[in-house]
Amino acid sequence: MFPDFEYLKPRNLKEALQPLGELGERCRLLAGGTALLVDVRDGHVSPELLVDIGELDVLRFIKVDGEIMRVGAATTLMEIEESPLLQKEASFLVAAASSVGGPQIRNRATIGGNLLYASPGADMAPPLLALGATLRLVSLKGERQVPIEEFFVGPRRTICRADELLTEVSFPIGKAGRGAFIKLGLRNAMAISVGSVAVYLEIDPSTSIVQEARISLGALAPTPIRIKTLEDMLRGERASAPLIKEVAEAAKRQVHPRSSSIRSSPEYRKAVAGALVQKALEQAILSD
Amino acid sequence: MSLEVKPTTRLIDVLRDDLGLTGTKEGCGKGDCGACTVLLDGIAVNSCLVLAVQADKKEVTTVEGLGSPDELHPLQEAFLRNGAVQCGYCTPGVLLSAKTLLDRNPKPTREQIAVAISGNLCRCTGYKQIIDAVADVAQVIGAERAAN
Ligand SMILES: Cc1cc2nc3c(=O)[nH]c(=O)nc-3n(C[C@H](O)[C@H](O)[C@H](O)COP(=O)(O)OP(=O)(O)OC[C@H]3O[C@@H](n4cnc5c(N)ncnc54)[C@H](O)[C@@H]3O)c2cc1C
Ligand code: FES
Ligand code: FES
Repeated sequence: MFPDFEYLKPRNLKEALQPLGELGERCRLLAGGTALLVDVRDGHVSPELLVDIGELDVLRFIKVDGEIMRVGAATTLMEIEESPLLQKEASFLVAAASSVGGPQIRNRATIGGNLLYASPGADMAPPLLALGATLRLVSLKGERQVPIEEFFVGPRRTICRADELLTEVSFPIGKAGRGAFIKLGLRNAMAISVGSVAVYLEIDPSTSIVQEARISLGALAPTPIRIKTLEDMLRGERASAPLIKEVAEAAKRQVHPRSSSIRSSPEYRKAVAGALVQKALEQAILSD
Repeated sequence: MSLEVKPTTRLIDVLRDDLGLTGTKEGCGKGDCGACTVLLDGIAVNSCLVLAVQADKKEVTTVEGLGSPDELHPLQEAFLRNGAVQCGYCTPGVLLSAKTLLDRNPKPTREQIAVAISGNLCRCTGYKQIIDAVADVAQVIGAERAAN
């Protein structure tokens, strides 16, 4: 039994937005509940009303719209894992989804809940940062499109207002980019990530010149982050083993020296960042 | 079956307290151990992280629905045959994770079996016997399919 709250299952988006607008923080959206219900149980949050958006069809889809992939916020991580479309267009996003918890968690957990819970190690964040994703936030007052880079502001904090709801995550496809996601602790399904990295590269096949590079880290800073200095080192250069080494070395210097929100020592985090970046670049460059 | 529940009641509470289906176990109460695993419309979920109201109009399968003491489910027989049950606390949950795997993929690899039960903590067996047991059933089912 949980502490007291009321429950609402809205039939459409408007019915979900109404109480959010009126009650603000006293109302919480319930998507998969795998983060929220644990928090409610432990008394970390005490909402008066839970609005269950987990089965709202308008928030559950995976579709291609021209050169854009659109994923509804209430799409589950298992649906992402099993989507042939995402497997084809963003296999490293799929890899990140399958790295979360066990099947029971992935069957409920949603991509939106993962981003909104905003843990520094939220596993959907690094690949979405590397894909240059855009988030669509909707409220009764209107809507805005936010680049995911601007979304996270601190551990468990985002720019999403209490009256807003994330409806979809979208990202460009079709550029023949290659991606990789690597998470330390991948072998142990239920372990919280000590570090993860996602890389996305576009490489000219005839010259091996890196045309676009995006690199992001999870769990190694107070929020998931993109590291543009590393990207700049790659862009315009020929992909090669020495270059990968150089970027991996530089990755160590990018890790926050101290931060109370993170469990491991700075030295360890540096080593992890370097090794992860190296492996992910190798995987992305050598894949296919 | 119809029941009236409070919004704050968890699915596991309804199963155990209101319906007396105590095969479903509570371990951690927060998604870590999988002892409370049930199938919701055929999909494995942790019943400690699902509200009872969320099961409205859905089919819930608990270990009681698998087999009875007189007529064990093939998975239950295989668990006994392979020594996959020690204290037994994790067993109902593991059985349901295994069932949903086999329902969707009758011939899983050992790796796929390991993934399917990765959300179920077992402190006794070290998992090998459990994987053996599921693989055992998978072969039986596979052989039956081949025979038909
Ligand atoms: C055992 C266990 C293992 C886990 N392992 C991992 C892991 O490996 N990696 C990982 O990243 N996470 C992990 N988690 C954390 C959690 O399961 C995931 O972050 C999950 O994706 C959260 O999604 P959800 O749909 O369950 O969110 P919920 O719990 O439903 O919601 C989380 C928060 O987001 C808000 N919210 C949800 N959807 C929206 C929306 N569309 N718009 C606005 N706000 C919204 C809710 O109001 C709430 O505040 C784990 C959790 C457990 C219990
Ligand atoms: S009791 Fe539900 S996962 Fe442990
Ligand atoms: S048999 Fe004891 S926990 Fe699995």
